[in-house]
Amino acid sequence: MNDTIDNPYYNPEPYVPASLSEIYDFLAVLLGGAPTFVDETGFYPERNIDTRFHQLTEAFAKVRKKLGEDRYAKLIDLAARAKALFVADPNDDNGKTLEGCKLIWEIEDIIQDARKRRVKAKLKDDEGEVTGD
Amino acid sequence: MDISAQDRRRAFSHWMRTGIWSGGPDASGIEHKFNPYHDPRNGQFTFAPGGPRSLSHVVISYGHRANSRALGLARSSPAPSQTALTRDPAVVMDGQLSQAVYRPDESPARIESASSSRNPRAARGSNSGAFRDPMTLEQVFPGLRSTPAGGIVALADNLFDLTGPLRAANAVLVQNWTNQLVNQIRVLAPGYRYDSFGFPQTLQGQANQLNHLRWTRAAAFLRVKGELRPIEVETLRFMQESADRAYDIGLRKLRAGRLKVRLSEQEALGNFVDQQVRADMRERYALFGIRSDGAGPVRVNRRENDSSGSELSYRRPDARVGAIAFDVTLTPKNLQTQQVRGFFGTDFRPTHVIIVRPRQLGSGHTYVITRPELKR
Repeated sequence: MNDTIDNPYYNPEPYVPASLSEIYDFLAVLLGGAPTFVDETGFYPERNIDTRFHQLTEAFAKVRKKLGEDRYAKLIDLAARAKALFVADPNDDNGKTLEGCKLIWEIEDIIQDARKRRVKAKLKDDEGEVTGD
Repeated sequence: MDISAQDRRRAFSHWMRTGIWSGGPDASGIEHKFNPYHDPRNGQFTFAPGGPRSLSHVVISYGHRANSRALGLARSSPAPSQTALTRDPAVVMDGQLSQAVYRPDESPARIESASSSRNPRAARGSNSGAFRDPMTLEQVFPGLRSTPAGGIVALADNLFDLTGPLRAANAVLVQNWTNQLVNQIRVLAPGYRYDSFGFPQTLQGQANQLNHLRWTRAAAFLRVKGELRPIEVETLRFMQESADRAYDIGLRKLRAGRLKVRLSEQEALGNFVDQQVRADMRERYALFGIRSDGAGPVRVNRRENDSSGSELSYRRPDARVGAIAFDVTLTPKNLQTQQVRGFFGTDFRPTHVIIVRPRQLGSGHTYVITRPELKR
């Protein structure tokens, strides 16, 4: 499908999670799609491991201030290592995919920790509410 | 009982017009009953449409009007012999008609296979197309409009299986459906053009094309008309498909040790499905230029306040479109569930809460709960 021309109802830009809770949800997509991240439905034929990890690292950049530099650097490193493990196990038969999933779990822990801290500190989200985002 | 010839004619005339025999039993003591539904094989009465056997294999005639015309023909001309009928060869088995529908209003009168029969309502300009291509929740949940406050309505079976109708369809029908959707979008957005690399060759590809156009139509309705009903339906359809897919993937990943189990495996699976569906929803909305981050009527996992109490509280439905809250769950929930009551108590006062559960969990998986009478 290629209906970007004359179609104001189609957004060619990839979705990038824009808050901590959106990143948390997106991590399930990574666990579910590993190691190849190919869309089995065919609705997103351009999807692959590169596009998925691009979405993830762009999302980290969006919430960089909320994360702080240390956490941000740690997350970028974990993402790169996880991606390398998935690339090295395309058939999911040498154990590296499981190792990569465990790194995704680490990412999840960091994101959830950041959310809890924001709630505890009563920091407001973009809508002015205390939600952890 | 003996009645005069004049009374008998009057009674017969009345019976012809109304179907009610006012002359009482005849001389033999047998009462006459009007029934427009006959089995053309043997002339015996059958059940009317909607009767207890009508959904299995009862042979019925084509509606009251058609039968009235047929009755008139029968009175004025000799009964047509079987050879005068056009028969669908598929319904003739061992010389006997089987699983057939009699269409006396057609010329010549025709008997065709019940399995290939058309929907008689369709010929009368019915809304049967709505059930193939629903655009409102009332078409998705039969009886929703008349359901009392606090009632529960189940999802219509197979309504979301786009590939089901497609299996029976052919490329021409899919192309016609595609053209119809494109034309509907052009009514809303005159400059719209749908370009593709060619007609999809696979069933999945054709389903994706139709889904793409349905979403475009819903997005156009939302942006041009501010009309939310089509996007409510597409949200539900997509959420169901996503929940089904996430449940399958989640089970596989759980067995392979890829999901982190904290409290229980069920909790891990439930969390995975919730997260996957919400992420899917955001991505789908974004693809069609619909914001779901709180700026508009479409919201995914956003805080919904309840200011009715002394202290502000809130709930986070998995999705909200206008006044409809959507919740994805593995566990059945109803009005006794605190979370559901909480949704109804929020300030946006949802008219309905839709509970979406994976189809793998069995019949009654997905249903809508109508708003109860809540004191605020």
